[in-house]
Amino acid sequence: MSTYILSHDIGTTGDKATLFSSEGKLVAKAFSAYPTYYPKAGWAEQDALDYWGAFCAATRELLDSSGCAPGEIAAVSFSGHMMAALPIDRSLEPVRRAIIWADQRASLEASELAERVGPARAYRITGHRLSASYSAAKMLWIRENEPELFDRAAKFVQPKDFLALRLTGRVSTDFSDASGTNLLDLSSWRWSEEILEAAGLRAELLPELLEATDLAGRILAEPARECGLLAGTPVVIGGGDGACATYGAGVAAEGDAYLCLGTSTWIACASGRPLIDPEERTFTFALFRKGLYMPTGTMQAGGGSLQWLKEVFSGGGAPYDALEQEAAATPPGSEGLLFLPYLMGERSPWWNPDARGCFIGLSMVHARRHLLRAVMEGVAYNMRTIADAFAEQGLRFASYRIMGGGSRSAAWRQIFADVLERPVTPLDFAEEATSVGAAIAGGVGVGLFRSLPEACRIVRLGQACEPDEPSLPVYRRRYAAFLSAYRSLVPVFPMLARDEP
Amino acid sequence: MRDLLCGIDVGTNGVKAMLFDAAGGVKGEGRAEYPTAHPAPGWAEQLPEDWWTALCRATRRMIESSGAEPGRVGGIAVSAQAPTLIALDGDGEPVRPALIWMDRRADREAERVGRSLEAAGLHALTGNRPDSFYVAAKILWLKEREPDRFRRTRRFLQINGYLGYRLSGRFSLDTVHAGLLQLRAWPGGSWIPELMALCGVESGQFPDVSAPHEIVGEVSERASVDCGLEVGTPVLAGTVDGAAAAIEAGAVLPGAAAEMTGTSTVLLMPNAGAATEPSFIAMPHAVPGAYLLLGAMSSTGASLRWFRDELGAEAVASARARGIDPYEALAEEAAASPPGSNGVLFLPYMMGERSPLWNSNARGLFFGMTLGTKRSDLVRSILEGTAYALRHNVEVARTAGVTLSELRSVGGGSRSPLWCQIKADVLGVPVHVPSSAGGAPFGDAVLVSMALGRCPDVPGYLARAVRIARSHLPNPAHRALYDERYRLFRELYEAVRGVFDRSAEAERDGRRQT
Repeated sequence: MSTYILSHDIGTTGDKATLFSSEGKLVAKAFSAYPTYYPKAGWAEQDALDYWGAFCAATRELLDSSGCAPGEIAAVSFSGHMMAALPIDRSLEPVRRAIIWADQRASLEASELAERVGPARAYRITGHRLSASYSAAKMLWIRENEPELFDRAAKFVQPKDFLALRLTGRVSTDFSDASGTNLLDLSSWRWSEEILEAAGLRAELLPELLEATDLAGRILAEPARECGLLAGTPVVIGGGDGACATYGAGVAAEGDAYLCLGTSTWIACASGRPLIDPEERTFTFALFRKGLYMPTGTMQAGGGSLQWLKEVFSGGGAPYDALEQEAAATPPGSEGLLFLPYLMGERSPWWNPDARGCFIGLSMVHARRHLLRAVMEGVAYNMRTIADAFAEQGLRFASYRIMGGGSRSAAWRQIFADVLERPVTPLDFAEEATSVGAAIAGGVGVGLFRSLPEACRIVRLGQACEPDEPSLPVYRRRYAAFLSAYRSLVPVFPMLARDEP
Repeated sequence: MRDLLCGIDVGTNGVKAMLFDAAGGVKGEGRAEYPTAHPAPGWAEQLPEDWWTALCRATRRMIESSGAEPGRVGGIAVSAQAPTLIALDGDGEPVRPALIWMDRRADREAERVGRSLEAAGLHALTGNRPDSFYVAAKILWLKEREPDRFRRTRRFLQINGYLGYRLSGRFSLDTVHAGLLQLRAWPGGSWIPELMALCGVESGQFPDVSAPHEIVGEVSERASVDCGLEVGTPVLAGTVDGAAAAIEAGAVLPGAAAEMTGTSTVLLMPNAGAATEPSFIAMPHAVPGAYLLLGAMSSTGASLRWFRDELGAEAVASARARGIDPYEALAEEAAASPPGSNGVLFLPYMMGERSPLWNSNARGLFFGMTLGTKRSDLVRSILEGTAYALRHNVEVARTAGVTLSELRSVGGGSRSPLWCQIKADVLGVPVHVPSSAGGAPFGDAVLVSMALGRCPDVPGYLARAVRIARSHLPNPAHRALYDERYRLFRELYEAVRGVFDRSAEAERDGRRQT
C-alpha cells in the first residue's frame, strides 16, 4: 500500500525531508545541508546541483531510518525558498548558480524596471513592490552582466522546481512560487505580458504554471536510481515556502490568519482577493490554487532581534531560560523601555532600509529582563502595525495562529495576544509547518486527501492564549509611543546610514 | 611650628579631613559619614549636628593617623556641598533639619523667584537661572510653608559657615557660597532688595562676606575638646567643594577646565570675565579675581556602571580572574570596537539630564543597532556618548565666552585611558590627568597656605604641586568622524525629545488612572 507522503522543504540552509502518514502523522525527519555562497557583500548564491545532492542524501537517510519501503511512497512534494533566479539550459542543466532571495545586487535593474512599468502599476499587477529581492530584477542583472550565460538560459526556475524537473524531465512551477518573481499577474493568473514587455524578457524563459497540488510528473528511471525512490512515483509540484507555511498553519479559508516567528517574521492570511494597500505596506502571494491569495506583511528581524539579544547577553549572567521567566514577570510596557526592531532596516510596514534598532527610554530601573521584554514587545508592536494595515483594507481577524521558533515562548505568545488584542493559538508542529504544507499539497495531489480544507485538519493546535484585559491600556499607550518614536527617528536614520562603513 | 595645613571637605555623604605639608604631601587623613533623610519624594535633609559630629570624628582620626602634634596645624579651611538652607534661631540652634543642594521641594517657589524680577532679569542680575537648587527659593519655601520656624530664624548659614561657627564661635559667609544664595548681584555685589523683600529676609541675617582664604576666627576651647585641634588654630572662611576640587585639578587660570567624573560629571570652567550662561551655575572661584562656570551632567559614570551590572558579567568575571578592576576589563571590551562604535550612538540621559539640557524627562537611548552590533559596540558607545554630552557643555560654554584649551580629568572616570582619549578626540583639546593630590581637601589646604602668606602665586604653586600623570592629545585622524558623530548626537536628541516628553506625560497619566 502506498500510504506515505514524502515532503521536501528546500530551505536556505538545507533540505529538510519529512515523511508523513496519510493520517498526517509525522513519521520521520532527515536533514541535508548545502552551502550559501557570498561572493560579494549583498550577494547570495546557491548551487542547484547541491539541491539535488541534498535531496538524494536526505531521501536515502529517511528511507533507511524509517524502514519505509520506496514502494510505500504515494507522492513526493515540495516546499522551497522563493524569489530566486536559477537559469537552466536546453538539457535542463544549471547555467550558473542560483541567485537566491537574500541577494540584493540587482537594485539598479529593479529601479529601472520600476521606472518603465511604474511602481504603483507593478504593485497592482504582481501584488508586490518591484525590488531587487525578486526574480525579475535578478534575471535582468544576469542579462546585463553575464550576457553569454543569459543567452544559454532556456528557462528560469525556482529551487524546488529544479528538483521536480530533475525527477520528471518536465519544466514547471506553481502559482505560489511564481508570485514571488515580480512577473505573475495576480488577477489573470498568467505571466504578466506588460511587465515582461517592459523588461524586454521573452515569455518562453518562464516555466509552465501549475497549481501546487498538480502532478509535475512521475520519477524517471535514472533519477530514481540516484535517489533511491521508485521510477514512476508521482511528483507533486508543491508550493513556495510562504504558501506551504500557510497551509501548514491550517490557514486555508478566508479570514484565517497566522504569525510566523522564525528568522523571518510575518503575518499572513488567506483571502479571496489580493490586498492592494495604497501605502504598499503589505504584499500578496498566491496560495496553492487559482483564486486564493495570501496577503502578507514581513518584517526583517523579528525572531532575529531576539537571537541578536541572546548574543549580546551571552557570556555571563543568568541563563537565557531563567531570564525569560524574569521577563515574563516584568510589567507590560517594560517600565518605559521601548525597542525598535529594525536591526536589518525594515520591510513591512515601513519599507525603510535605513531604519536601525534602538532602545529608547533607558533608565536606572531597567535590567536585562527589561531589555528582553522590550525586544519581545517591540517585535509585537511592529506586527501590530502590519495587522492595522490589513484592517484598514478590510481584513480583520478574530484570532491568530502562531508558529516558528519564537512561538514556543509562552511569554512572547501572551505579549502578541495582548498587543494584537486577539487570541493567539500555537501549533503542535511549530517548526515543521512548511513541511506539513508541502505534504498537504502532495496528499491532495494524489488523492490521499479529498480537498485542501479537509487536509488542513491534520494540523493540530495547542492551547489558545487570550488577551489579558488589564494589560491592554498600557500596551495601547506604549504602542502609540512606539509609533511616535519611529516617526521621530525617520529623518535621523539616513544620516546614520551615510556614516556607515 | 605651625607647618601643617588642614583641609576638610564636607560632601553629600561624609566628611574627609586631611593634613598636608607645605609641599602638598599628605600627612594624615580621617573620614566619617552621615545619613541623608528623604521625608518625601524630592526632599533631602541633613542634620547640622551630624556634620559637626562627623567633622570631629574625622579630624581626630586625621591627627591620630598623622602622628603629628595638633599644635603643628597652621590653619583649617572647610569646603562643602552647596548650597544649603541652614536656619538658626537666636541661640544658634537650627530651627529644622537643613535642606541640602539636591532638595527639589522649592520648585514652585523658584518660579516665583524667577517672576519677581523683570523678564530675564534674574539671570542677568544674579548670574543664575531660577531653580530650587539655590537658597532664595528654599528660604521662600520656609517662609510660606513653615512660618513659625521662619519667624524664629535669626540667621542663615552655609555648611562651612556653620562648622566655622562651631569651631570658633564666629559667623562667616564666603564669596563663593554667597554667589549661590541667589540674593546678591552678580558678580559679588550687593544684596538685591526685591529678592530680599520677596523672601522676607534682611542682610543682617547673613554674616559679612569674606574671601575663602580669609581667617574668620580661631578654634575655641570648647571646640578643641571635641575636635582635637589646638585652641587658637586659625579657621578660614572656606569655600564650595567644586571650587576646592578645581584648585586641586589645577583649574584656576582661564582656559584650563576640569571635569570630575564619578557617578556624574561636573565640568569646572575657570574664567576671568565672570561669565554666565543659563545652562550652567555661575559662581566666584575660590582664588581672587577668578570665576567658575560649572556644568553638571547626571549619569555618565552611572551609565557605565549600569552597563557593568546588566551586560558586563563576562568582563567582571574576567577582571576577577585576572585581579584587575572590572572597569579596566570593560575598557578592553570597548577598545575592540572602532571609533564611532560601528554606528551605535548612546544618549547618556538615563536619569534625565542637567547641564546643558535641564530636562528631567530625557532618558537613555541606544541608537543605530544592526544584527552585527556587539556588546563591545554598546560599551564603547557609552564612552563616546558621555564624551559628546561633555562636548555639548563645552560648546555652550564657548558661546558664553569661556575658552577651553585643555581639560584636566579627575575622579574615578579619569582612571580609564581609553575614556580620556575619547574625550580628547571628541573635544579636540588635550586631556591631562593629574596624579591625585587628595581631592577637595588639597584645594582647602592651598587656601590655608594663602591665608598664612606662604603661597603668593597660586597658579605657579599649582603648576609645581599638581603633577600630570598622563596626557592624551587629540588624534587628528579621528577628528572628522567624531565631528560628524557629534552632530548626529545633537540631531538625535532633538529628534526624540518630544518622545521623552510624551512618555513622561503618559506615565503620569497612567499612574493617575491606576
